[in-house]
Amino acid sequence: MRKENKNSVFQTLGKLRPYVKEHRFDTYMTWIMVLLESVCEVLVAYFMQFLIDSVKAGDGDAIIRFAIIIASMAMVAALTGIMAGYYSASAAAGFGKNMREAMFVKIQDFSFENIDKFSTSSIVTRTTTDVTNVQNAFLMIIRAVIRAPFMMIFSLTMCFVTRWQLAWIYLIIVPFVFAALIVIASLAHPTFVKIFEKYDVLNEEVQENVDGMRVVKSFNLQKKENEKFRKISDFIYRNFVKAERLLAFNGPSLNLAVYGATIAIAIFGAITIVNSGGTEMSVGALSTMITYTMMIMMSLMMVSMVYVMIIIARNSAERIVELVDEKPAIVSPENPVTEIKDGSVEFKNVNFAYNADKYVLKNVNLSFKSGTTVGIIGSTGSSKTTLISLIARLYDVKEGEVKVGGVNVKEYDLTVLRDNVAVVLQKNTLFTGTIKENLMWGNENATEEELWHATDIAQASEFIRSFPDGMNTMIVEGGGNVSGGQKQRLCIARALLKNPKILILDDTTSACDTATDAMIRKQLAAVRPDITKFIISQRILSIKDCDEILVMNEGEVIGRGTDAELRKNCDVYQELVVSQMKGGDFDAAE
Amino acid sequence: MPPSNLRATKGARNMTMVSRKEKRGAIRRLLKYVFRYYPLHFLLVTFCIIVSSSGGVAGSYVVGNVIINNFIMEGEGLSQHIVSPSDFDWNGFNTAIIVLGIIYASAIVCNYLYNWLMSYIGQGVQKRIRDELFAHMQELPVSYFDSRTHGDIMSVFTNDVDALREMLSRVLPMVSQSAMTMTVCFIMMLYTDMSLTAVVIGFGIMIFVLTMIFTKNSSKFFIKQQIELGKTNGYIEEMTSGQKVVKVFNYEKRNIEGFKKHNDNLFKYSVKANRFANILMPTVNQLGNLQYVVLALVGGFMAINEIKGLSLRGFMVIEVGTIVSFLMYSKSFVNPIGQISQQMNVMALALAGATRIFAVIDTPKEKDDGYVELVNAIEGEDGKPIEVKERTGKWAWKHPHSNGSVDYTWLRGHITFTDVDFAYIPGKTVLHDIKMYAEPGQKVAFVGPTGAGKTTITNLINRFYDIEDGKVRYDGININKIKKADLRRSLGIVLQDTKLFTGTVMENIKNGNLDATDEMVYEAARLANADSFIRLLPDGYNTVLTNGGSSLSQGQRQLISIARAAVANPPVMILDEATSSIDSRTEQLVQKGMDAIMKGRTVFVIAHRLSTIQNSDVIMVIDKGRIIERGNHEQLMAEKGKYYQLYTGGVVGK
Repeated sequence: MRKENKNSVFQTLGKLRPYVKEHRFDTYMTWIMVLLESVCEVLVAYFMQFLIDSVKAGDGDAIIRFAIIIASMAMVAALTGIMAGYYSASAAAGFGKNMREAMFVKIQDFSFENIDKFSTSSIVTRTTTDVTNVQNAFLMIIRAVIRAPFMMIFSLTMCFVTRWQLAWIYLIIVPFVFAALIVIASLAHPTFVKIFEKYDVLNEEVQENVDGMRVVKSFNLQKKENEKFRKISDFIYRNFVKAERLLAFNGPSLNLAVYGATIAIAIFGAITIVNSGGTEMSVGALSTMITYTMMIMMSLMMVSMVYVMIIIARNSAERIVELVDEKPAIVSPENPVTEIKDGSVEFKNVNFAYNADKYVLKNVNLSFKSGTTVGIIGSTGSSKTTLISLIARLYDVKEGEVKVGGVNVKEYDLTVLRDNVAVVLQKNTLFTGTIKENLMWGNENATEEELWHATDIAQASEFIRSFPDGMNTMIVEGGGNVSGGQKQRLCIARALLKNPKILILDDTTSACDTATDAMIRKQLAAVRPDITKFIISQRILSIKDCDEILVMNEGEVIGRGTDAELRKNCDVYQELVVSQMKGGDFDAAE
Repeated sequence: MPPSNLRATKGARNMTMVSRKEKRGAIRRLLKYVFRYYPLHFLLVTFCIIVSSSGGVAGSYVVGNVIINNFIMEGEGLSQHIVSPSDFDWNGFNTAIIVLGIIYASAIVCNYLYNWLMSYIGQGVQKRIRDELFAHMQELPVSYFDSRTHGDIMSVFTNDVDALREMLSRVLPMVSQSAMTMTVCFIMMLYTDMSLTAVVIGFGIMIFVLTMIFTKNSSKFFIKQQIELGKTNGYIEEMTSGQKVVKVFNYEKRNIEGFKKHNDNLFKYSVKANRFANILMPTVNQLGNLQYVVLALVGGFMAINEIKGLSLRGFMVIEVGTIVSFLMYSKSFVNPIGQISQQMNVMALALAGATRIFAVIDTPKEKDDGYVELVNAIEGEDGKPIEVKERTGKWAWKHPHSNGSVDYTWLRGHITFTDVDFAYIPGKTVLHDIKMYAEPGQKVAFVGPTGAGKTTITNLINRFYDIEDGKVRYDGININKIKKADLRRSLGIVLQDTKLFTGTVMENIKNGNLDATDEMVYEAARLANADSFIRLLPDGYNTVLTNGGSSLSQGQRQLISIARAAVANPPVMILDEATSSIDSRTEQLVQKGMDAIMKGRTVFVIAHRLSTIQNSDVIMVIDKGRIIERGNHEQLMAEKGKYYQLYTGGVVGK
């Protein structure tokens, strides 16, 4: 997925830059403060040699003078450093916040097609772990991007000023270390990529074993799974050691440079000092040069760390950009129709495929008058859900058109369309919050009375009343504290609150007992006869009283008519009748 | 389990506070791993760290005290002056440089060596812990998995082991190197001058105290940040998994508002936490510079006044070179404090993680006191089984007695429950007084409402749980006496949730019987009605399934899982809602497979479709943990009890 538009690191970073937004000021302040801090720090080092020379000369006044200068410089450095920390914290956190928000807002624009593409866990990883990685890299980069080059240039300059005859040493050493650090990081990178890919495999293995624990135990698979796990674990271990063996060169190469420079300076410095009797170079200058060496190496280290950070953050940044760049497959048209005349539905020569050319709906031609109750039955994979998804424009047809109220769904404003076409999804969800809050998803201005009216129709009032907190009962995430049947009834009530012209129930009473199921249908017919209703079910019982029944098989409508008609002329329907009417269903009581 | 269980694994979970005692315990155990598996590595690492840190410090000493004081300068105190070129001791100087070179070279080599060795220790310990954790997890009782979300368990493997890696491979070497450098510096400082050392100690204490204050504040907000992160995580997780519902309800705007609340809070605490952390470094650095100044002042004053200072070498006059090298030591002494303090949060997270890892490892394994084994056997003259080594296709229970005699009983699949009571949580009995028996080859069905205890009964047969009271016998043997692995080998299980594993179809079916030949797999697949569709898959039996077999239809997955149970050829089968989530047309196909493998076996069926149950030899109606009715279909219908009610209720409105 990512491979197809492989941006360069800088393009990726460039795409993320706008998210600094209102924290631009913080960023600039960070830069200014870091700059000031760095200036003070090098000045401290610069004056240090005079201090040492004064000590050597036994000049008490000079010692105090330089001590005061250095101390005040250090103080300013501390102050600006603290300020830099202060501003960079909010710049980085703000950057992270904006990225997260941009992604979340983007996801809200996603159509079903986009949602299918990204799994929930991948979205969560992107909005959390990936953002954290990029945010940390950002925090480090905005500080180092000023500091490292500045320290390096200044220290080098000062070395030249102090003793240019010796400064050539750095011209040899700096490029060497720089190259070494970059080479090490680049060599290690592919191994790390391999490791992290293997990590996914490892996690998958654990996940499978935790989820399938009963299977593992039933079939005594522990040993086999252990071996499998060990193999993955071994791979990670070996490669990690390999990568770290490379990274272990980092410290030594820095040390090599520092130590090498120190020795070179000691030799040439000593000769210069002794030969000139201290006139060309002072003892203080010698130790200052050594201090500068440390500073140069520190800045090099910073550069290499930034490089590593960028490499690590790169994958994360790409994953963020990928999500933000995702084009919503379905958007409202420019001059949308904002009113839906009635609940009539028409399919004209509709063909549909999720993937390129694997058609799952073939040549569907149907039309239903407003207020019709339509039952849809067929085996799993016969595209029942796909068919009804097109009405609310959850997906777009590949060919042909779907009309609601006589107008192509593509011409409606999406919000208007979806407010009028209420879909109760098969895989439905309740959210953390009270029952009331959940119901108000359907209508945020619903009155108490309206709420109860909807729950009455959905046969949910009785059990809501039986809860001590009634409507204010807290629902836990995913609705885990109500039974499957209760959840389904709440979802139906929630959809009814939208006061739709078309209501689609996608196998939404499967967990209710047959009596409740029948009651819901009866109530719907009695109280809301005007609504066009589509009822998908696996049970003949649930749909046999519909005005019209569609029998679907492998993406085609193979039967259409009333129960009585289909019993006569549709083989598949007859088969279903025979297999189901043989006996009841023991789901019965919840 | 739905993926929603993975919620907030990155955030809130990690924040359960770990007591100091637990942390210490975790450190001790981690070190135990190091000592047990890498004693030699560890010794070498210690040695190398000492050499590498002392090398750096000794180098400073040579530059300052030897090169400057002994060669460049001569005289003492203020009468010190630069030597004339003619007096310069070239030989001595060269030797000093060579010594310096050797010191540095060994420091560099040792630096590399310890980093290299450390990666073995760090990664090795981590690997061992991870392997041990996984192996242990496999042995944990099923009840362990009931009481926590899968996300929580996963998090131990991912987040906690990760935190451990961070600590073992990055923080630990750094901290040990730092600590070593500080120690060496301290000795060198004492060796140089004690009064100056006192100044350094003063600053050290100051920096330490400041660090503690900052870290404490920072970690307070850090924890809040993690909690907010967890909440934001949870919100995103919940809303994203319900994103389709969001779409159909036009809930997007309200959703963004809800998200912003969390995101803004997260931002607030993240800023605060990072501010404290960011402020620490410059403060410590500049205190180091101030210390520099103070040292120069004190040192200079002592040098000017030729005050003798006490050092490990005795009373000595401070020289310029001494001050120079002392300044270096002081810097190397102070720097690590800041560095270590930066890693405090990582350490805290890692130790909390380690504590959780060890908690899993310390959880008692599933108990197995069984001693009755399943062995291959041939039929003796009297019809009694005789144990043999080779595979015979016939099995017998080998039952050793305390007096040394051994009994053999044919494996037949006769199962009895006598007055069985069971409670998941002590005191809350969910099964009461269960009495039942299943003759070999019989089909026993359980029906009843959700939560009545049907699955629980089957879980007792394979000993996922142990009964509280009463007895379960298998071919007349108390199942507590049978080795669990052998007991489970004799039972085949098909669950509603198929749980296929990543791997080929062949491997998945072989999971039922790891010794099975390919031929046996084909046969089992044919029996289960799965062979024909498997052959139509892109790579036939070698088609790789990922993600629990998500590329297959539910019916196909179920057929494979039936083949998996069939290849073991067990005398007893448990089918727990094996067909309930399949539509009735597909079910017919699966049903054929099931009927085929049920033949000649003792079968326990849990199902809610009558067609699956009707032809059972015995149907048990379970309600609230009790068997309230039993008999075959006709008998139960005639009884006009609960079964009748369920049955006719099911067809209400006909």
